[in-house]
Amino acid sequence: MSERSDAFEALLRPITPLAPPSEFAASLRRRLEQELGMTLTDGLVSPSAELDGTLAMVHFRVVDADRAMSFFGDLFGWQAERVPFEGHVSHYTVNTELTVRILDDPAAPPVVPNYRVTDVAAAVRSIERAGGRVAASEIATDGGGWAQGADDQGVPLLLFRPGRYHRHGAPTRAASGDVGLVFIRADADRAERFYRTLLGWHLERAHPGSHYFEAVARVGIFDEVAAFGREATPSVSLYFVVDALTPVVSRIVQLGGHAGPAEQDMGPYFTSLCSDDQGTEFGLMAETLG
Amino acid sequence: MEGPDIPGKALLALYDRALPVVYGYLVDRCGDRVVAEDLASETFLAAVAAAKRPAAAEVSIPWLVGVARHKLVDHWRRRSRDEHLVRDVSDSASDREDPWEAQLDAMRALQVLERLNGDHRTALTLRYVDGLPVPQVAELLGRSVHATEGLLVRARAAYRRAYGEGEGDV
Repeated sequence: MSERSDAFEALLRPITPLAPPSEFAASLRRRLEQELGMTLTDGLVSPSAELDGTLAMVHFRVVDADRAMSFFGDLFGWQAERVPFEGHVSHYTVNTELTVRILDDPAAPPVVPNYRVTDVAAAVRSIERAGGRVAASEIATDGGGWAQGADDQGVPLLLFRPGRYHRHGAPTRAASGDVGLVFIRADADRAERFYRTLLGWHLERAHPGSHYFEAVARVGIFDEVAAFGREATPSVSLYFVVDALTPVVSRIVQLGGHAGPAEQDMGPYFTSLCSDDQGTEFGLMAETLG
Repeated sequence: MEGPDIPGKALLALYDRALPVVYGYLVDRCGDRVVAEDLASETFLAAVAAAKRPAAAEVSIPWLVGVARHKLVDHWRRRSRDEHLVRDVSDSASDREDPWEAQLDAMRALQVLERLNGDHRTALTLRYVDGLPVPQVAELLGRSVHATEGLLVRARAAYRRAYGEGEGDV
């Protein structure tokens, strides 16, 4: 005779640690330090305003979103919420530190960095004044909403005020690959002018003589024209960061993708230019080869 | 003057290790990252307040998870009030004890849980997802053990219906 068991016992869940967004973690730590009187501040800034101008999400265009989700789910352990919309499918990752929206809208740019802003209406005016373009927007009466377009060099961008987005299934495991870097190739002087006004960025040269500039966490600008003295079309590439490069590269090949040779051309990181099994290009970065 | 700062320093020293645990606990239970961030903030701010008290108790990760659990219950209670979801469910057909022997699909099981009304969801989460004994659930809910047992019976019945129908009872 089998022992009776209550099906509700299947609901028991151990606590699975999950890294929160790094900006949130840093912001909360500062708040705690302030509350504990450990840090002198010029004035309290609300956590949401403090995060203005930081990277909040990345749109990553693929050929077929379901197939891509299968690929990256296997590769990085991603879990996502599937959202069909206007004939296209999106997958929003739910277990990465930074949300990746995998989407198969062929009209979308390959990579669109999404930045947080508190006042979308003001940001739209700022984009237009600075020579950028707003292609679509939905702005609420309180200044919230979103706006999508491009900067004055044609680099795509999306601005939004994060809100109470709808509920989704909770993740059951941590991802092994996350957004490491949004790599923007553009004229650094123009980018500095545009994004300083719009998002408050101050570009910091990686080291004297470098043509690579750090903008905000996970976003960098490489002035390819200045570096190589040749014309280059402004563009955005997406790098995913993993613990070690070699095992992930091997897995990409096993899954039917392609991985280029490992380079060490990005500070302490080893990198590899890769593509998934549908030919969508992305980069990998890791501090060790493994 | 190192003395008064020691509990605060201990909290900050714990912060990097504790935050993923607290955040993971909250995301897993509430399924909403923004809410989880709010509740994690409230949890750590409560820890700061505790650390400032004279003869402050040592803050540990289990202690922080316990605070986070209280914050989650408060959140669901507020949400129930705000959305007028609290209903006095008196379904006599459901007032029977009920070892349910169905095999639950883990992912769907949690999705169904998220669609239940506030009281039911809170009670089932504390009792089954967190695995707390009924008296502790009662304490967190501010009810008697007897009332909590009654609530759990109704919540299980509501859950079973929702799981079978594919819809919640909200």
